[in-house]
Amino acid sequence: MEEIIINVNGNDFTAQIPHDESDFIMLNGKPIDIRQLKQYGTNVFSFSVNNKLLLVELDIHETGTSYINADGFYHEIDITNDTKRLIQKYLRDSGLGVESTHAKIKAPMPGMIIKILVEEGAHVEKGDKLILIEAMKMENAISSPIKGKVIHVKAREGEAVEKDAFLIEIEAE
Amino acid sequence: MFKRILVANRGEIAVRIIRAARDLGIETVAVYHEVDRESPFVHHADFAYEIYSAQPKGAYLDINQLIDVAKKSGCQAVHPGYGFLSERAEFSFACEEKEIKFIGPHPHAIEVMGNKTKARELMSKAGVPIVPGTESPIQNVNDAMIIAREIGYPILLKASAGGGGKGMRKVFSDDEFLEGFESAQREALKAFGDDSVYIEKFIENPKHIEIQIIADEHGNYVHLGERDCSIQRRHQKVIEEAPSTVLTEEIRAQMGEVAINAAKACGYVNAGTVEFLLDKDKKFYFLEMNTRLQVEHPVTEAVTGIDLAKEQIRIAFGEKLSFTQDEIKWTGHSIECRIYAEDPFNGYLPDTGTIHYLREPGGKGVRLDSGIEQSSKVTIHFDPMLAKLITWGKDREEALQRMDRALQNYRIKGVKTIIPFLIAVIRHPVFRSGYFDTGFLENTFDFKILSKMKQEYEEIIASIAAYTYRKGIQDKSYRLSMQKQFVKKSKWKENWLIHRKYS
Repeated sequence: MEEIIINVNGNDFTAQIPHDESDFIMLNGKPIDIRQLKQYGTNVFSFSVNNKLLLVELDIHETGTSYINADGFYHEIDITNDTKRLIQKYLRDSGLGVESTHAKIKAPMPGMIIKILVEEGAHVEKGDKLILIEAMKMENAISSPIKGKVIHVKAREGEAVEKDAFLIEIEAE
Repeated sequence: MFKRILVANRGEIAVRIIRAARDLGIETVAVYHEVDRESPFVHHADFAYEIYSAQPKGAYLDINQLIDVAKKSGCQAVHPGYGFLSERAEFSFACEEKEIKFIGPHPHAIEVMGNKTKARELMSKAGVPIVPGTESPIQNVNDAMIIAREIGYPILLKASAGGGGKGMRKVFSDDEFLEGFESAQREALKAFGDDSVYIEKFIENPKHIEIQIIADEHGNYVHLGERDCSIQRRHQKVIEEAPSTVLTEEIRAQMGEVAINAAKACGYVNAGTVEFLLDKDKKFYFLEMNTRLQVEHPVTEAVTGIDLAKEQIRIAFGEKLSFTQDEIKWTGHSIECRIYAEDPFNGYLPDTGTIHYLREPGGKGVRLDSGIEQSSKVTIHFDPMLAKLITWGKDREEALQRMDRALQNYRIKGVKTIIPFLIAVIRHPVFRSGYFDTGFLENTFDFKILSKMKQEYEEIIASIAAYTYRKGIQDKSYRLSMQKQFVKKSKWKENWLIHRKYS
């Protein structure tokens, strides 16, 4: 029996998983009957969870975060076991892995930069529009996730960018 | 009847037209840009010709290439679908010139109705009620602001050559005017190659009601009733239905008559749609006329039993309408949901990718007009609408219940879609009541409901994650197949590797 912590969309669940062939796991102290009934292609599965059927896609995002997609809802998953917890504690204690005070704005989808609304050195409030990007004939505004100062503008107007392309960097203040 | 026609479009509407042609025993010719080589619509047709352009979209807008294909493939007529060249008078004109029948109205009607300023003038003369606003397009921002003040805020800025919500901005005060005007101009220039914008009074929270009309070349005009397209996000229709929950028989007849007058005023032939805004006092105003088959035509087909695409082809061949106004009977209720590849959890931004799993809904009262299949690629080159899901029921409740079921059974993996959002709207008590307007998504619908729906699954998802983790530890081949599937940075892979190293 191994205990792991599963974080789903920011909420922790404690699971005890037996290392045998049984169909049971314990989740937050409750027994769960779980069976993988069918596999489609490489990463789509039909599961029976306490006899409730769910078709899911196990997916990984380009940023490295794991997802389980159930009926169009993408759940962000992180699994922590004892070893990983030790490593995280070490990182925390040594001052590494502290949350960054920077916001690196990336392109949420491939498109064309139509207009850059801020200059380097500008002060922005959370929610201020930074960039207009056009994808599939529609203009979309990208807003600042934090209050801060624009320290770097990498994007250029008229430039075509790929998904996740680095656009603007903001330093919190 | 025609022997062979060209389908000058792509995606679900190309499939729709090919089906109608087949039902009439007509052969079809598809055209495709290289990126569409594997798209389903190409393979539905009898013949397919490649068309060329640096930008994929450009190929479907190239009149010379399309006419050339029509000629060399022996087509007698061209169906333009919606979007692309469907509302370009020069395409209709070029077809006429080369003696290829254009399945749609004559160039004159397209031109007049395609220019909002001319359309307003003509409608005004024909006694069709119009929304107060500018009579000519404005390019100078200062002039525009003075006019905006005269009409009185809130106002709406619209691209003169526009459609589909592109180049459209709502402005509530002088402060917002400059940004809105520039933005509308830019989008208008991009989308239509014309940056002139016109201004009109913004009617707050109206219903968007449109009337389907159809006319033959023998002077017969019939209206097929209304569609309620009030569920819109950023002026893009998302859910449509027929009939509307608020129209009385009397208003329906009135709007139908006005729509027919609008069509007659421009000598309209073939299928068209007259769009109106209906305010709270049930007063209606002409918005625009769409001189083509609409995306949402299937709901009208469902309640009237008429195949609009087939009827369009018959009319183009010179046949008379196969029905009179008195013969039109509306039965039951129909709803359409547009399935967009957009991420409801990321500001509804378009998503791209490969469809690696697809399960389509079916069963009684369900129709799916789709442009995708398993392994289709969804790219940034075209509109993000993948398919249209249409249900019919003996009443609104039954149609909605079937829509709920069909949406739940519709499984698309590999690209994010708005299906979760559509389910939330279909279940919303205000939408359910029928008393909603175009402000519904902006003012009434709480987008947080999606997060709540998501939370309901979390325990099951955690169980599946735990199961998969265990399976990954126990079963080497399973682990390898998952690792191959996931890219190198997978946290799970790290977990598995860490576990193996220490255990």
